[in-house]
Amino acid sequence: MKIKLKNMLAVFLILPALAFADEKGRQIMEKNDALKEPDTRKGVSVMVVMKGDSKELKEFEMVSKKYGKKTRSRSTFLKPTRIEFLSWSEPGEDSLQWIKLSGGTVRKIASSDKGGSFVGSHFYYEDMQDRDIDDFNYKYLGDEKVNGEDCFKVESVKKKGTKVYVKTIVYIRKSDYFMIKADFYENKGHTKILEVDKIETIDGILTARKITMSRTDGKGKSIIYIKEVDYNKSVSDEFLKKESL
Amino acid sequence: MKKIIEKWITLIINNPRAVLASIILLTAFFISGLRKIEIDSSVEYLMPKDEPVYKLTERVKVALVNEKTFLITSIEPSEGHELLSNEVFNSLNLLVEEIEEYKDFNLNLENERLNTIIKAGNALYNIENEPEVKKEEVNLDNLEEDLDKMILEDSGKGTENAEKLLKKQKVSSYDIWDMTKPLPEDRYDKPVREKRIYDLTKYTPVSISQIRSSLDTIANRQLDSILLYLKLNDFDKNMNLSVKQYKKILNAWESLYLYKSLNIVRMFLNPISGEDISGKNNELTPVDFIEKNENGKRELPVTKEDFIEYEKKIRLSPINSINLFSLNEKNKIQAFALGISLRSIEHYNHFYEIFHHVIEKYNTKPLKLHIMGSMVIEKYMQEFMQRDLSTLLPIVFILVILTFFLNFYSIRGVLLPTLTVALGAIWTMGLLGHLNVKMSLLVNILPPLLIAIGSSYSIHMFNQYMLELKTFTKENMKKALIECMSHISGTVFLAAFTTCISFLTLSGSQVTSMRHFGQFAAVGAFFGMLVSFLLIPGVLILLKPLKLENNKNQKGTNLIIQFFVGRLSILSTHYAKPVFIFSVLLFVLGIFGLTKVRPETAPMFNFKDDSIIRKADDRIGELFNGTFAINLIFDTGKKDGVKDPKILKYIEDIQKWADDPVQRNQYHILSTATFGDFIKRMNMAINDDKKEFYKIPDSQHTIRDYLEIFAGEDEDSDGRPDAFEQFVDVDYRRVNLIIRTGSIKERLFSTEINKKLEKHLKNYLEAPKNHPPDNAEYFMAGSTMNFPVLADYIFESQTSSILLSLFIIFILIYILFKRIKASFVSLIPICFGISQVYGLMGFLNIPLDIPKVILSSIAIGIGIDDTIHFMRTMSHFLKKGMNIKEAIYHTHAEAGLAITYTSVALILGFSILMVSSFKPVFYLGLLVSGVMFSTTIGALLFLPVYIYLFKIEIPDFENGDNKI
Repeated sequence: MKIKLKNMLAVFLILPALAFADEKGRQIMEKNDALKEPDTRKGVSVMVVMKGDSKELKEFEMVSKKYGKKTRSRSTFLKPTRIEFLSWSEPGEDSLQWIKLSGGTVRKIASSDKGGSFVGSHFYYEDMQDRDIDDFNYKYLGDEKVNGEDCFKVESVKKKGTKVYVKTIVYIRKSDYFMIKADFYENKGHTKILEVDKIETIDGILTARKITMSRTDGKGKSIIYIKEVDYNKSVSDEFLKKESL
Repeated sequence: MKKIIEKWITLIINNPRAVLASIILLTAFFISGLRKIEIDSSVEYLMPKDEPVYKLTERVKVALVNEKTFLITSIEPSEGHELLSNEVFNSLNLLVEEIEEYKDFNLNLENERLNTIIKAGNALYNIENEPEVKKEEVNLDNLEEDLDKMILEDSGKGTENAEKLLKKQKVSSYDIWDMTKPLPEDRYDKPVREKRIYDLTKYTPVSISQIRSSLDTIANRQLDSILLYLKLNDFDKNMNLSVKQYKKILNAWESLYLYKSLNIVRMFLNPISGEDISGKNNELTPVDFIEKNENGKRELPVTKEDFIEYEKKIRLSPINSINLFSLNEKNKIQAFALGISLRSIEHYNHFYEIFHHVIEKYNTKPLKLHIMGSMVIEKYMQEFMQRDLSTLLPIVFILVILTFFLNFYSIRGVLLPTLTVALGAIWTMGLLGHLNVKMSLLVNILPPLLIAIGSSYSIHMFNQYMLELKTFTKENMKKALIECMSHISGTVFLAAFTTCISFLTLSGSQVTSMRHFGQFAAVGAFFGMLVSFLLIPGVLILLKPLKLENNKNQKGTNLIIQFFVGRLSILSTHYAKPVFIFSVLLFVLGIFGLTKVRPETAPMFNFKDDSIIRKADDRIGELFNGTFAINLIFDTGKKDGVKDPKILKYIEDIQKWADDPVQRNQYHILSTATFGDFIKRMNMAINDDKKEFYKIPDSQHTIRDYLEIFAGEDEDSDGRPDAFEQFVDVDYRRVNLIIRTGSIKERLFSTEINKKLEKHLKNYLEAPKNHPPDNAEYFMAGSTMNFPVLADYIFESQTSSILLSLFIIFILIYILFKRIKASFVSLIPICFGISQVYGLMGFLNIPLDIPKVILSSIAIGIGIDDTIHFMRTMSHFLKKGMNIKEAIYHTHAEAGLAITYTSVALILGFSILMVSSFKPVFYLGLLVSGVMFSTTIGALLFLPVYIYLFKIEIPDFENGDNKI
């Protein structure tokens, strides 16, 4: 019996800081890591999960705030249920998480298997995690064009802890060091591809408004749309406490 | 007819070389068909394909669960060991680790292992010819464009419109529940690539120990399984493997690689890698029964305290006490269970043949294992069928050769008939292969049966040759042989014709196996006759006539048989009235017994009581909850209808009703499992693990919340976590309550119990207070439900086959003798034979299963031969001017002896079926003797009594003969 919950914050973080660093590989990833990030976010996202004949839409609001390297976030589902998640996380550490069910019951959730499916989508909890650039080894594999754009191709392998992926190959756009594609490899081989689209600069922050995770066997994909997002707006600390759930 | 046969024989005798060349060519053609023969021991193969229960079950297999792939293995400690001990857990962990590889495919590791095996023997393969399995291309571009616009550009009702658009999407062009459409051909999962053909022309000899040295620990265990499967486990590890042996190992490894790439094990319940969730202290924590250390190795319990802690974990969830362990009367864990179910592939047999050894090889100290499931039953059925063929065929051949030798005392007298019967059987089985007809339990009896039947034709032919040998001279050889062969061919033709009819009456059966048996037994009888007609005259004309002094047969007759037939003769003429009364009594008694006959199709009845599989069934029945299942499916009629607490609570009530010991003891309802069990467990965890919350929550929102946070794998990406697949369909519209059933202590799960259980379930569900909520509908399906359906078909086929045979025979006799009364009387031996043998089955509680349906065909086939023989001979004597009494006496002296000899020979021939590994075939051997005996008594005692008492007129047969 598995219940796996993580904060929804990473949906937003996933892009600029997804990837990670031989020497040249590390340098590229450092530049990716240094991309500008906001202190707070508020927004609404829509996730469309397509699996075989089943196509499901999920909608949720998300509020997050940075406290140095630590982040607190609260996600409220609007569809298909009214569950809420509160997550306090810091890179390299297990997050503290709570869930509030539609009926009002609040429970703490222990950290769980990172290779599990995130709310029934093709994203794993691992994909939603904050990452520390130092947790990975990098290897520059060469240059490649993705959708007509020149990219650095870098392989990253996790140094320690549970390895959900054997390796990840990321494609970093040369023009702005933004990651636009990633190939994920598990024990069973190349299983998933992450692609980003509809990239906009909002308040000076590069934001991909469409993120697609597809299975390489063509058996389905999940798309996250960033429908609305505001950066650096005021977020009360009280709202991100367990007592306020 | 006589003239046609004569022309035919003349043609053969004039062109013997051309005839023999044709036989050789035809034989070569049919031998090529033998290689194509496949065995299928499944119940599904026997089922009529348009039968509603079968059709529904096949759809349930695709949409929900193929319970036939469910395997249960009970794990107990072997003598002198404790279940909760580190040594037992170490062995168990090895087994679990090996099986886990079939659930989570590791491409790089498996490629490395396969390459090690390939390199070891320098096998080659052409990578360019290796087609990758095509990935599924689903064009969602237009949908995505619309979604992009709606969600990202329309800030108003964009999301709402996107949701409507997704709901409008045509679910699929194919509706699995539409019974009018065939099932999609691409419904099976595909491996990572096509199977390779390896080139071993450059094979470098390699030993098992050399292969071993390059493989990791688990791969070495896989090699052990393959060696066991190939029966190479005792092969010297340091000796080089032959190219054939190496090829077998490589091919088996290749197969396992491809099966593993499918992640073929969909569900694997076990006490080692299992997991649960704890909800203590208002915190939800995933719990691994046994945790892994940093290196990914499990930290198995060692101390008493470790095991106490372990027990606490596995006893927490109420589901585990049903699925995972068995408690003894002192509430101590006495056994564990491994539960495995597989993904959807077309044929499971080959996989299971190898996979069985993956588990079975751990059945050694400190573990004691019993494995059960439909795949196990089919594996043993297949093995026993092969064993039967390899045992029965040589014995029947030896018996036939011995018979030929005792009859003819010459080399040609043994070789020629032996070759004839062998060719007849080869032609039939070759045709079976060419027509892709699979061997089932009943069809498996064909080869020995055909040899037995064919031998009587060649005996007749060769015997006639021997009888008329004295009239042969160099000059008249051709003419004499034509006359001799033409004369006997009429009798052989008539015998074959009636045999064909008796078997053909089964060819209308809905049951595949019975239909195939009827068709091919008839074809076999025809081929037996044809080869006798072609080969015997064709060869004899090319050989010099046998010297008469070699003809040592016919030297006196067996005194016992003579005495027996003599008594029958006296009884039928001197004690006609008492015999008549006795026959009526026996017939009535037989009919009374016949009404008690019950059909049986449950597979466990095929095995003998002391067989390994019956022992496994008994033990697993004692410890766990049955190996068969009925799917009780509720259709809510709407998408997500299953998430409604009303339907889940309703099913929960059925589960409570099913838990009553009465259901277990009287109806074999052993356990239930459904989707709601997951919801109940989550509800309990959310509520501080309090047992009283192991129930369906009241709110639909809560259920939806649970489903949202349940993060089980969805390997096939069909929208359902893999753990739910057997319980809900992709729309969450239909929910399945799996009702496990099977044998319980000393009471085998039978068709009768199965019927009783189904009826009991229906009665419960049809009661007004138990109707499903919101007009939900229910239906039942599952392979187990095929058993009673098949039993009904057997009964129906058997009855119609007997009635049809009697009708045809009545007409045939009427054509031959042109007398209604004679036609009625001619049915006496057959009716008597059938009533006695089926009556005996009823009284002795021997079930009517598929192999026994041939009893009636044999009764009819033999009965009619005996009857025609007797009546034909009697008409001959009556024509000579004898009165009925004299004619009966002389008929007994001539035909009576021949009939008795044939029956004794056939009883001996069929009695070899008693060495079969199958219980029904064993009984068949026994009962055939009963049929032979009773039809012989019918023909030699009751038939003359009826003729004598009722003054039945038997006209000159020859007049009728010409009109066949």
